[in-house]
Amino acid sequence: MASIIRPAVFRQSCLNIASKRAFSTKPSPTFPAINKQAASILSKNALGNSFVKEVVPKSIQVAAFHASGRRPILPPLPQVIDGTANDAAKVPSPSPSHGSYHWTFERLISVGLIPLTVAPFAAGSLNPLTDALLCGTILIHSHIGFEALIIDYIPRGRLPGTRKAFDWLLKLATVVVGVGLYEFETNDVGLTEGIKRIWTA
Amino acid sequence: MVAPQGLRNMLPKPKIAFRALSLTSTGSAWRVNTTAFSPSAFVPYNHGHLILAQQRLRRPVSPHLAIYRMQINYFTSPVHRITGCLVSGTIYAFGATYLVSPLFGWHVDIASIAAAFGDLPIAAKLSAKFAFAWPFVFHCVNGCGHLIWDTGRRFKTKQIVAQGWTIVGLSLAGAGWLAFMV
Repeated sequence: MASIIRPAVFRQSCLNIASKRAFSTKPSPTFPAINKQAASILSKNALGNSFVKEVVPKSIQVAAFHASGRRPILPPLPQVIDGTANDAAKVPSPSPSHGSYHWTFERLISVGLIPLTVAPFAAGSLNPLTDALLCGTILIHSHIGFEALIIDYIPRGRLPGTRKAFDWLLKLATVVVGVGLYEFETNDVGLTEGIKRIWTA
Repeated sequence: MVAPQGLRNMLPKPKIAFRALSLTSTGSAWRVNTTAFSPSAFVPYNHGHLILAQQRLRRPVSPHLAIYRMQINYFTSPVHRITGCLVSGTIYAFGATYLVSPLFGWHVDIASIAAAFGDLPIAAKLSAKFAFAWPFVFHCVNGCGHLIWDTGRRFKTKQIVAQGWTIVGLSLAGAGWLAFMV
């Protein structure tokens, strides 16, 4: 069924249908970018695909997409160059508190969770202190986990505002949930006893 | 005919200067490795950007997803993350709900939830218990597997594959035990 969309020509010939001067360096309003009127050379849109768009008509681009096995669904981002063209890639400076110590702390919390989770259910309900300790450890473990999610999916270089927003949102959420769990421990039966009661309801 | 590597050896070795790490520095966390190179041809600032950007856009991409071979870790790793989000998300949601419940007049104390849950039909109860138990048990067991890896053990391919399938089996068994026997 998809074959009806595919044109009879191959991708290369689709692109060659465009002018023979398609990829030459003949100056034009968009090439080199210095010829552009308003946009700064460093603005994010200056070096987009305007070069291709100007030369190859939209219909040919669409036909070329269907004719090829490649899937250019995610085009390359606007090219941003930090510093000059000769600078090496920037390397983050080492920070043990964000690196080595964070890793160790994360593993300590994870290891600590194992006895804290098993004990109350194996030995019958324990006192509120261990329950509160379990709640706190789960909270820290969850916070570290969500932090890893944010770091992975919201890169600082690409989305600085969003990343900051989510960072603070997570901190706020952790504090709110911390207070909520404290209230729950104080006013109600506690996490382990509560889970037991619901489970055996 | 001198090999290209030989020519490179004839150049003076560049001095490499690293800015010292200062724990009290309040500057940007990103530092540039400053190396003393002399470019062979001086290119003006704007033109260099343009050439580099166009080169980048034309660079081919090595195949990655198309050539990946499906293995057990391809599934356990995302599932570990997803189950972690589910369990933590539930706890976060419960904590926040419990805190704001007086404002809206909700009753989310254990007695109310237990009563509501107990009134459900048995099939719904069992499936709900299994649906809650499996992500939790999977995340716990897979987490223990991660901790084993963190000690540097069991990194051979066969061991990793065995571990992956063991975790799947254990999680199903554990969740079944919790849901149906407890």
